[in-house]
Amino acid sequence: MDLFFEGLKNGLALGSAFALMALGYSMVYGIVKMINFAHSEFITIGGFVSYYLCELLLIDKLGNTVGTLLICLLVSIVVCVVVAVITEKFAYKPLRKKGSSRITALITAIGVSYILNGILNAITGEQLVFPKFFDSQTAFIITIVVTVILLVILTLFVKKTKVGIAMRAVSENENAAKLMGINNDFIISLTFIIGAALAAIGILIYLLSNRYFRFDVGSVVIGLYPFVAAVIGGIGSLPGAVLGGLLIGLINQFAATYGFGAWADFIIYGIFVVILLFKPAGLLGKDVREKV
Amino acid sequence: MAFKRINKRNLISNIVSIVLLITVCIIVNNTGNMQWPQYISKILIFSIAALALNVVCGCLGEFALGHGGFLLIGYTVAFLVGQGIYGLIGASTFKDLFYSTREGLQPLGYLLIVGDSLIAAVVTAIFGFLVGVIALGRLKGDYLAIVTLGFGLIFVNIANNIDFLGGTTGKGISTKLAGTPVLYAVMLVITIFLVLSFMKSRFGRGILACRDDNIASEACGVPVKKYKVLAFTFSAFIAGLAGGLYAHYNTFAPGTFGQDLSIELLIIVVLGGLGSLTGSVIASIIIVLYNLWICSMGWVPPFFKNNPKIIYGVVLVSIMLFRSSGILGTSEFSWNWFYDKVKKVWKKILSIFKKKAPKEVE
Repeated sequence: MDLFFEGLKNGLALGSAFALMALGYSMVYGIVKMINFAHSEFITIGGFVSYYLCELLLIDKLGNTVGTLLICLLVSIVVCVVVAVITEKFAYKPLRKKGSSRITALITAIGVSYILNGILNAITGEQLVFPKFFDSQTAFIITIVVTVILLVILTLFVKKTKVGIAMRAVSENENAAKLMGINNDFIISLTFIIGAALAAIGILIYLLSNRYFRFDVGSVVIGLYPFVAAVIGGIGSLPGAVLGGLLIGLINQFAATYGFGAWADFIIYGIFVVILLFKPAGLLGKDVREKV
Repeated sequence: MAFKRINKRNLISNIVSIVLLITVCIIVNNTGNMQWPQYISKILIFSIAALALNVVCGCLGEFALGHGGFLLIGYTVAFLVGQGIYGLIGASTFKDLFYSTREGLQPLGYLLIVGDSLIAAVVTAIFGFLVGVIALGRLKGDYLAIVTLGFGLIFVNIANNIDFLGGTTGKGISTKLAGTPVLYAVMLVITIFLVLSFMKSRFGRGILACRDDNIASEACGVPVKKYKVLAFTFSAFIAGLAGGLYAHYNTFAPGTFGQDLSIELLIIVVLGGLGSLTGSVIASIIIVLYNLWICSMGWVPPFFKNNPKIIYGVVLVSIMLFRSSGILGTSEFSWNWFYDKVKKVWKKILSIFKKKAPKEVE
């Protein structure tokens, strides 16, 4: 039973991190209809910024406190957002203006992710160790609380505010939204910004419990799990992304605790394929009408 | 994309270019250089794999990100069959029949590799059929791409975990029976011919119709779902063939057939131009040579050596931004077009001389 609870705890912690990353994938896909492969690189960038901030500046002066973590969080969010906006402006926007096909957008996203990954690799290819801030119990509680709060805020933002409604409108029908006076470019940029910010928060939460990482944490270790989570939950549905993230995190950790760690990929993708075949829109895809 | 009938001039040019390709392979194989035969073999195998993906992406118009998995199935089957034969007849008879170190492959050895790859291709086609029936019926677009990616990763995971199928380190038969560039060149030519004639047939035209308009072709009596599965199966067949040949090229760990290989194949196809078979071949020459240059050839500037992916990414993004249809677009490379270009250039050169000539007289 201890084993079970350990799996549950680790799974929920990992799943929350996946969920936050999945939200970014889900929102971007919901609006631009593009798998943003560069998102995994945003995740890694967030991790790198937090790590270097801790190592070089803050740990000595402030110690392992919540304050340090908050500063890391804010700076990494800013950096991620800047990178995301630049990516969107220079790579995705020209494509959108030309009205090019989806596969072109997909390949461009892969190209951008290669560029960012190459730059990160050039900075350092070594194994990095994120400093320890909390014991596992506290880290777990913080993870869950942060995820729940963010999900609530995001849901309220999308459902109640004017900008959120505009986002839903753009995802529903881009041209009609334009006719209603919505600034599409701004909304799309905003989506990328929110996605990148969530990626930065997600990686920080991930690093609280998995402290060893490298430049390939986003593209290989975490890989496509967040996107798969978003698809399982239903692309465009916020609770769906969280559900998918938790599901994948739990499967991953239960497989690891019960000694099937090597088969985790098989189980996750198997379940993913089965779910998609019976509910092509994802678990919560149909029930939740509004898409972001 | 139109698969035009071949006229006489084109036919002769094609035959000449095939003969040239094979002579180049023979010459490279006999120069005694150890590296270049390997490089050329890799390019040719990747061309075959890219052709397989092009059938799905270019001709059927659906994305598939799981062709690395099909290559892996072909590779594993070829390896198991080859290993089985080796075990059955014993090492010494095997060497006598198929392979001697001095002469390289014997005629029977060529036959064995081809037969081995064909078995691999058939088994892969069965898997492709199953995946196609499961996935193509309900899904399309990005969802299909992700599901095929999932299938690819499942295959890789299975092979990774079962030692018998390769394990994490991978097993290969290339040490016992290595293919030569000539064989791969012949197989590439046969594959191009196969794909071309398939796409020109009734089925191929039906598949093209599905790509252009699903609903209209269904209304015209084209069984869309069947043709989609057919295209997918055919693609898996060729991917399995490439995988089988790959098993005779070198030893690879199953992990190398994952996401990265699938994406690289997709990049090759898009770079060459969706639906352009010759484009795929040209693009695979470029991409494979670039990767080989970075990884294993000499005289690489340090910046390239340390950050191979940056250049790759910059090139990809700029090609997508400025020429999103790829190198050849949807058209095929044809010698007629080439002749016309050469003629135009030649006429221009002539006209320059003609204009200059009277001036000199004055």
